[in-house]
Amino acid sequence: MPEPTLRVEELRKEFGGLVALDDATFAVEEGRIQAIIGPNGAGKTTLFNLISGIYPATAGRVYFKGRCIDDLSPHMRAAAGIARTFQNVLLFENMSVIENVMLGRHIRTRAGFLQSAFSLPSTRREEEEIFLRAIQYLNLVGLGQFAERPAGSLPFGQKRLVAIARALATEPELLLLDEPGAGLNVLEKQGLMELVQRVRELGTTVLLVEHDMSFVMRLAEWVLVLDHGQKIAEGPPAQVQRDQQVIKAYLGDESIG
Amino acid sequence: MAALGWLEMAQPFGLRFRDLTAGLITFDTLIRIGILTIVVVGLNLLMGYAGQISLGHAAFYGMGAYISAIMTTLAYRHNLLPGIATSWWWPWLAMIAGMGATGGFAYGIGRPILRLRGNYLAMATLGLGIVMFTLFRELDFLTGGNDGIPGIPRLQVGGLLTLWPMERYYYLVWVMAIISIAVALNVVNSRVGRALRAIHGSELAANVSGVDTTRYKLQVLALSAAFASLAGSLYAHFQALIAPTPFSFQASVELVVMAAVGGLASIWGAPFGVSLAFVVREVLRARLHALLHGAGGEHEAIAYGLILVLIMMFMPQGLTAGAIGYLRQARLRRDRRSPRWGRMSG
Repeated sequence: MPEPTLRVEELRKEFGGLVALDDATFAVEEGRIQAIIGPNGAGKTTLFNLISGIYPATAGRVYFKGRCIDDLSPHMRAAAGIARTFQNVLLFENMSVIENVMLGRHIRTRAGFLQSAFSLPSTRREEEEIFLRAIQYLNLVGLGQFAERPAGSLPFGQKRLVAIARALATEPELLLLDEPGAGLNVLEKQGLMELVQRVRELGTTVLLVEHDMSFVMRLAEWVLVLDHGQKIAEGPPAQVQRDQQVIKAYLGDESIG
Repeated sequence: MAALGWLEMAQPFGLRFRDLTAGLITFDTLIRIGILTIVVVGLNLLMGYAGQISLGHAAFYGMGAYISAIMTTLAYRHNLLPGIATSWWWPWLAMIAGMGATGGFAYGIGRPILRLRGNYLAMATLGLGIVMFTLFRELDFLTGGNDGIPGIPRLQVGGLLTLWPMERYYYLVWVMAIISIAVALNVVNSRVGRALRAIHGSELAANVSGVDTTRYKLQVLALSAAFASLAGSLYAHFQALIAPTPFSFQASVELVVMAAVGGLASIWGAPFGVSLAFVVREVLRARLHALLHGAGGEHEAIAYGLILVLIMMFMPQGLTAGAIGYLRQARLRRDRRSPRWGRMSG
């Protein structure tokens, strides 16, 4: 059996006495679009922060392509091939749209302080290449015409897309999307869904956290349900949808729409 | 700025430019502006671009000055390196050594300090500045204490050309200042500069996007300190005598003010910020008593502070960005009045 892109083993995170993530174990198979769902405070964002290395786990391990990445700092995980977006977007609002995406190329390029200070020909060529690649990613999310706009001036939905372009520019093998659909209208969500599918076709595995159930059920091929930091179910959407424990924990008595 | 030097040397129409400015702006002032421009350009990289505040930059400025002063006077006095310490290139070597040592020191001290953010970072750098100032004052055997170090030699090139008097030194200082500006502009408009601005925008997002934020913050602090050190060395050879006062906490604050007035995140703002601070102070010193009977030093300080506050109120992004903004608005108004509606894009 091939090694999954991401494997999480008994991952645990406590903040003081609060258990945010309670020994979660799961895998994300290569080439999949997988979703994590669960009520507020279920530990979804905590899980993302642990995978991207923002803070250390209390216990447990994270494997990326079969290699334990627990000792890697966030920028090294980006280099290894993990990219993410944030729930609150976190664009560099002091920079233009294209510069945001160009920053994503940082980890795949080299020029340091000295080369930059003297603006060597090789450095200028590299910079040109960074720009061209960034334009490609910006076109992929459909925002090519806004390249020179200040990132802060875009409406919320488009900021989300810029953040995805920035993440894609790092050429990730695993893309973590933290509530990519929150605050988007129906049309924008449809576009987002198509974008995520195109990203997967380009060879990137996608793991996303999302609240909108119809969105998840239509997009994801595999769904993992967290509640109070614990995994309570996992499987194809149709199966998870019928799971009694999920219905109780997540939706009370209503059925999943 | 450099053109003013030409004006002084050439004296067209027999006019010395000192006469043109009624003695307010002299070569002395222009050299000081050039030297501080180098410091402020470096400070701008750190504060304006990477978003890391430093209230102790005068310490790095002072380190450069003292390293140059000590290396060029003590070695000679105690005959430590006969033949070498008297050669024309020794002070230049001291200047480079100072930049290396100061940059290295900043890198080392930055490891614990740059973990801090915002006000805490401000406090830590402030503390660093005070400690270094105290060392400059108290390490008598090295720094000469409050009396300082006299007899710092002038700079020479090849044993033939002495970069003095002031009219000559002026060119050296401004060549260095322009090189500093060029280097800083290159850094800012590059992959590295983008990473620095990203750290300013969101350190977390920069880190997760692949920027080694810790290393970049250390490197930009080291580079910024090396700029300050270079300026310090130039200052030492300009004054020929250095004492602790210009490297005090007050000087650090003034550097931050100059950077802010010129415009943070604007390399070209640096010379303007420094010049404005100088010119305002000189004008006040020369003219305030005429305007206000019996005005003394404290009135000058109040007026100086007031003017800076007004500038920051009306041009919060600094002189250069503020001026560009006003020009753009003026053009917009003009376009609106004229029937050319075609160019309405902001």
